[in-house]
Parts: sequence; structure tokens; C-alpha cells
Amino acid sequence: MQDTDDIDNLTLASFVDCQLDAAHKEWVIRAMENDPDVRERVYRLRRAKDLMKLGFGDARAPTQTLPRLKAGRWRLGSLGLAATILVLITSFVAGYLGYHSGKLVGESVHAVAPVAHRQTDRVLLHVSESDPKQFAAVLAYMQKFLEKHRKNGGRVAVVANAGGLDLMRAGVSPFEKQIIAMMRDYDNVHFIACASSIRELRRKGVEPIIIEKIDSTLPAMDQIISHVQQGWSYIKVDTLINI
Amino acid sequence: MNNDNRRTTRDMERRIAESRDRLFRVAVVWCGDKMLADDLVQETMTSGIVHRRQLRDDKRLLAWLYSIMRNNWYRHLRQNKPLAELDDQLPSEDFGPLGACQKLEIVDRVRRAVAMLPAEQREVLSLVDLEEFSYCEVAEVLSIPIGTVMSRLHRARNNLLLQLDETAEKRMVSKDNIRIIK
Repeated sequence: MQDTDDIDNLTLASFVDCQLDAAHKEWVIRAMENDPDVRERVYRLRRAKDLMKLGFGDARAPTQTLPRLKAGRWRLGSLGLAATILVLITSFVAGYLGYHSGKLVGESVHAVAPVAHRQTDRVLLHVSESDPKQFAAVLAYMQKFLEKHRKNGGRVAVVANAGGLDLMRAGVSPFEKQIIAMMRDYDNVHFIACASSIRELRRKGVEPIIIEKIDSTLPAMDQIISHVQQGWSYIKVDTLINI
Repeated sequence: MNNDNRRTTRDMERRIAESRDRLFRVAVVWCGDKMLADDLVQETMTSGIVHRRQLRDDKRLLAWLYSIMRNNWYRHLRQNKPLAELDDQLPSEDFGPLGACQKLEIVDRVRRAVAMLPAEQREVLSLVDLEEFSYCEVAEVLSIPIGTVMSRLHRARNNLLLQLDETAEKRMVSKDNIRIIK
């Protein structure tokens, strides 16, 4: 074993953090007994460690429900982590990809539909950009879906967040009349506006007026997770539709 | 899904749920804000549940969750502050959630001092001092060499104590001034 004078700070830190084997521990303890400077340095490291525990050791998470039961959401700006969740969901759904539903909306549309587990007659569209072309594609998809599933009770929903919320904003949406008509004429369509995005806009001083009868009770993430868990097919409009 | 799989899934979800407060403590150090930390933990747990089958060794659950949490946190930093260096991401000083503890002056000073540390130092400090992770585990979670873990830890503790000592000195000077005025 080395002379105790050679003990460096990294070794002392390893001692304080219980990272040393028995022989090295003994070496440090002996040095502490003989050298006040080593004792002082160990004390200093332990003080830092104790202060960290004192500062943060009692922290408890405000949310205590499992995300599966009540999905989490970032308060960082509605889409930062929503995007992450969507990636996760998309990955999950991607395993079931295998069906190109261009028949529904023309050759330019690539839709997600399941091979086995996903329900082809229950489709959730997700729009997150304020892009009239995407809005038009969403409505075209829904219209053709409704025609195709007129008799078998197929259901289609569209969830909008971030810029996509514009699709569902009264006085802003270029398709306000069509949406109102669609909700009036069909029982099996569901429009969902993201509660988090609405809250975020309000935080920025914008009061978004959502078209009447559109569901805006939950964050988009919660809605997407809930629908996917129930077997709905998921279509992310901006990535899965080539406009 | 058969009964065994259901039981395994439930067990994994239970264990992930039980990790919440531990994840949160570290997340608060990283984010410096309880609401962000809460979201980060929620997101991490969601990812953990969705990808639970990717975990090969159950004993590594916590380290695995921390890896997920770190990825999520860095992704958030990149998305929200794309032009800033990670080390520049000083957290806010709002540590509201911790109730009575926050009334303790020393706790408040520690949190402020930790908030001043670079992100990479906060990460190592939180995992070693709060989670009692070994240096090897920290190296694995953060994907850095053990030597880097040790040097970051060393700098973090030095900086932490330096900040605290400076604060203490200022407080002493301040008290002296009050005495002079009297």
C-alpha cells in the first residue's frame, strides 16, 4: 500500500462514497488517524454529501398516480415531451404497420392500419401543425373513412394540439363549417382539442375559442395513449401523409 | 396475454411506481423546478412502462429508468434551448414543493448552490449522493467513463462547498454591517 501522504482527493471521495475495497479503506482510515489534513478533507467531502441529502432527500413527487392511469404531461411548452410520447406511441404502433390505406384518401396518403391487433375501423388522426394542407387531408381522410365505414360502425377521431389546434379554433379554422357539419351529420366522428395546448395559449395571453361541441377536456397525450391502448389505429398526419 | 405475463407486467408497473420519489429527487436536482421534475418523472415512467420488455435485468431497473430520464431531459433541453450549451441551463430557483423543508435556511442555500452547478455536475452529484449509486452505475447511466464520473463529482463538491462558503461569508459580512449600523 502507498504512503498515506499520497492520498489524493479522488481516493478520499471514493472512500466517502464506499467505493474502496477493504485494503484501501483501511489505508484511508489509518491516514485519517495520523493526519489532521486528511481528516479535514474527508470531513469536507462528507459535509458536501450530507448537504446534498439535506437539500433534496425529502423531496416527494407531487404526482403519485401511475402514468398509465393518468398520463403525464410536460408543462414545458405543450409539445416538447408530447413529441417524445408520440415517438413512443408511433414506435409501438409501427409494429403493426403493414397496411397502406391510400384507397381512403388517394395515393398520396399513407395511413396506419393494423395487421392484426389494431382496429381498421377505429382510427385516430393526430395533427400538430397549423398547416391548411394537413387540415384538408385530415378532413378528406375522415370523409372517405365515413363513406367506407358507413354501415359497419367505424369510428374516426382527430386530436389536435400545438399549431394543429388552429383546425378546431372558431374564427381561425379554415374548415370550421365542415367540422360543424361533420359533427352534426355523423355520430361516429370525434374532434378533440388538446387541453394542454389551450392552457399554453392562455398562458401566453391568447384565448383560444374552440368550435362548439369539440372535446377539450384532456391533453392530447392522454387521449392518444387512451385510444391506442383501446386498440385504435393511430395516424400522425405530418409524418404519415405526403401532401 | 397469459396470467404470468400479466403478473409480470403488473409487478414491473408496481416497481416503476415505487421508484417515483427517488426519480423525482434526482429530477429536481437536474431541472431545478418541481413541476418540470414531476413532468420529467411522469414521462420517464411512461417510457419505462411502454418499453418494459427492453429491460433484460430486473435488478437494473432503477439505473435503466435514470438512463431514460436523462435522455428525456436532454431531449427537452435540446428542443427548448437549441442554441444554448447544456452547462448554461441553470435551473430556476423555484423549489416550491418541498414544504416545511424549504423553510430551513440551510436547505434553501444548498438548493441555490446546486442550481448554480453545471448540469453535468448536478447529474453526477445527484446520482452518487442521493441515489448512492456506485461510480460504475453512474458511468453506465450517463454513458461516460468512470474517471469522468470521479472528476465531475470532485468538481461538483468543490463548487458546491465554494458556493455555500461564499454565501456564508456574505451573510457574515451582512451581519457585521448591521452591527456597525447599530
